[in-house]
Amino acid sequence: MVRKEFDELRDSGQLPSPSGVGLKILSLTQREDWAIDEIVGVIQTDPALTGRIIRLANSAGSGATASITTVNDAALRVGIRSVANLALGFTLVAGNRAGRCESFDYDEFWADSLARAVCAQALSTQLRRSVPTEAFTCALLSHIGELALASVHPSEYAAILELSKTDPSLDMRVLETERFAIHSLEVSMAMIADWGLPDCFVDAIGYHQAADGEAHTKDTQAQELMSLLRMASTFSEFCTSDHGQQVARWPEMEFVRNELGMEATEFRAFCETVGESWGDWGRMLQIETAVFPALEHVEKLSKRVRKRTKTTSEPDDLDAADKFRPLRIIAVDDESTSLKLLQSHLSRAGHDVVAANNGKEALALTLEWNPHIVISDWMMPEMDGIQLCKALRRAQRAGRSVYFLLVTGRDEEDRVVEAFESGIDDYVSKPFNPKILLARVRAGLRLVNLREQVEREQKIQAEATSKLGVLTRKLRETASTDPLTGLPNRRYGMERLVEEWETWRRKQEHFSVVMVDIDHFKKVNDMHGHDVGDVVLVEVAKALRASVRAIDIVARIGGEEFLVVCPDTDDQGAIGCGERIRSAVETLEIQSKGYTGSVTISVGTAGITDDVSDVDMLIKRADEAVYRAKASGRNRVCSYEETSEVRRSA
Amino acid sequence: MPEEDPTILDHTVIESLRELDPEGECGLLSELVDLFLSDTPPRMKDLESALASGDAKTVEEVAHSLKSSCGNLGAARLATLFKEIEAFGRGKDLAEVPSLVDRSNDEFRRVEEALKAEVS
Repeated sequence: MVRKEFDELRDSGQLPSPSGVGLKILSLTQREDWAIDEIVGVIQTDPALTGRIIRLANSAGSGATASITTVNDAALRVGIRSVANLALGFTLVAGNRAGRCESFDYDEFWADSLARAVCAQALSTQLRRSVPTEAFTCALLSHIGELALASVHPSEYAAILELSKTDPSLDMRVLETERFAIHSLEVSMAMIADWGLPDCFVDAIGYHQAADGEAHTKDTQAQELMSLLRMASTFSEFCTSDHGQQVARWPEMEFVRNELGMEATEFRAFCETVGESWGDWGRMLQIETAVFPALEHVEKLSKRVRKRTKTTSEPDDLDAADKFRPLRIIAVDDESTSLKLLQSHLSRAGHDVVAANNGKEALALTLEWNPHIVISDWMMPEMDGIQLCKALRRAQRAGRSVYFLLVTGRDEEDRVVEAFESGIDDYVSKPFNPKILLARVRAGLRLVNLREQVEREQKIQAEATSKLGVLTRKLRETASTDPLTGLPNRRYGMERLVEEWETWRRKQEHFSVVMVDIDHFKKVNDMHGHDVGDVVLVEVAKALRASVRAIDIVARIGGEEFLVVCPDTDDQGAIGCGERIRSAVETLEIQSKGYTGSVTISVGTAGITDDVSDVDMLIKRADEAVYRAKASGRNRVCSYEETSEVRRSA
Repeated sequence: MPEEDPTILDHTVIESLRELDPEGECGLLSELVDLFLSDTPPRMKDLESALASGDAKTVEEVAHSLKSSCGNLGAARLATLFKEIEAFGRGKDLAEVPSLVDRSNDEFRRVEEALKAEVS
């Protein structure tokens, strides 16, 4: 599996985690002997959480039983595990609403997760699969790995998010794996397992996106949850799409409808209830949810957009610019016979046509559906063709680049200059000559193809630039990392030391360095070989990293020498830090290739005082302190400031 | 089939519409005729009420749209009448329009008859 990669993420200390009540519940349930009363008691200390759990437990019921009014009732009705899981989920939502990854939309993430959760719960109730509260929690946390990657690697994750925005065909899971050697669903699985949530959650989350997901587990609970998650994903993607995508996604929703075995109206009502519930929960958890669309409209629009061949081959060279492919065209006319004729000509030529009866409808449709071409009559009441074109050209999105073909009457042709000035691409006169109309559409197709080709090239360029950025960063990282221990190397350690020095100069706060040297390291190498020596270095490095604070900087600066830079730390603090490290190393039991043993270290500390003129002098003083520690018997911490030995082991 | 006055219904237009749907499987021509016959009378009512209230702009707009649909179905003479009405509307001079509207009402009945004969 990807255990190692996950451990690295966890060791960063940046993973999203439950806080307060959630954390207490977590530590309770990870004990063997927890009691229901304890968990109920912990939950009751948080009134908001209590309210949410009671509400969910009520909504998850079939409605036939008496209503739940206390956490105890909820625990009796849906089980204490279920209540505890729910509490964990809610505290995660509350505690991880923002973060440092700029391209990650934290609000959208939770809105999406909430849609999944609410839908999974409703489906669970409807289909009598799994337990509704469990389905809610499992779905709520199913994509938590994305949040985790954004939290641990804010800038790298932002880079791949941007990349996938420029090219939606790129698979996020693949990008994540390329960059982090683990993808977000795997992170979700590991986190869920880490929190002690049920195994069926882990399997359901891990495989619900696989085509043969159910084959990965024999656990029927996991299989049931998996099917709920899959449908809930479809639903949440639908909820969080813009209207144009919603129309395109409707056929996927129809799959869900088939699985539910519902009639169209019944299914719409079901979706609307879930949508309402999504909004209710959003308000309660202060998560902004989108307005749920009018499904009848979406369904109708989806039917109007007749599905043709799924994709035609993409043009990849200039010659292909003339290649035919079905275009999305919006035809606009207030006069029905003209509209019918226009539609008929275009459909016969193989295009997907949506008709609009006036400028306003066309404007809304264009922004929703992102057509390639708009063909509009000129003279129309309220918003005429020219006004429509101007409005589209002002729009930020689809409208700006749409190919606009204006339909003119014979007697309007002398006014077309005005029309061109407002931004139309071409015009065609009516009554239509089908040949001329289609020739104009072909000219539009050519331009659309060329424009898309340019966009694709820009995308490839952006991708290359982004890849270069990643490469540069990787090179820089490699150049500042010690390959054996993974700690920053001497160069990086010294750079950071100088930076901290500068900060210290401005703020005049305490600031110390701790120098660490492994005792008798040469002997280990000589007696047991370099392989064992390397293991010793790796183990000591780990112990070092684990004993210092997050703000301290640890670097390997020589063969068996390590440096810890401790900002905002006085002499006593530095000695304390040194002692923590010393004792951590002393208790290490190092095992490698038949070797079992332990090592000790000598530690020297030095702090900034007025007579320290530069970084080199500080390092020199710490070195002197290490020397004194060695000279007075090793396995001890000496401070430059205190001439006497500070501490040694018993 | 009776012999119609060619200026009432332009047969080349009707034939070109038939060519769009040679097998008649889409029922395009009859659909267009239905649309035309059901849409035109209310639009002509709109025209009359705009005329009664002296709303030259609406007169122009409605006449323009009616001219288009007549053109689409080959109702050449009726299209010409609407074109004249549109021009008077644009010129904000409605004095001549009532008589043109009367003539267009008569003409529409002839067009209706001719079109029904085409699709029967």
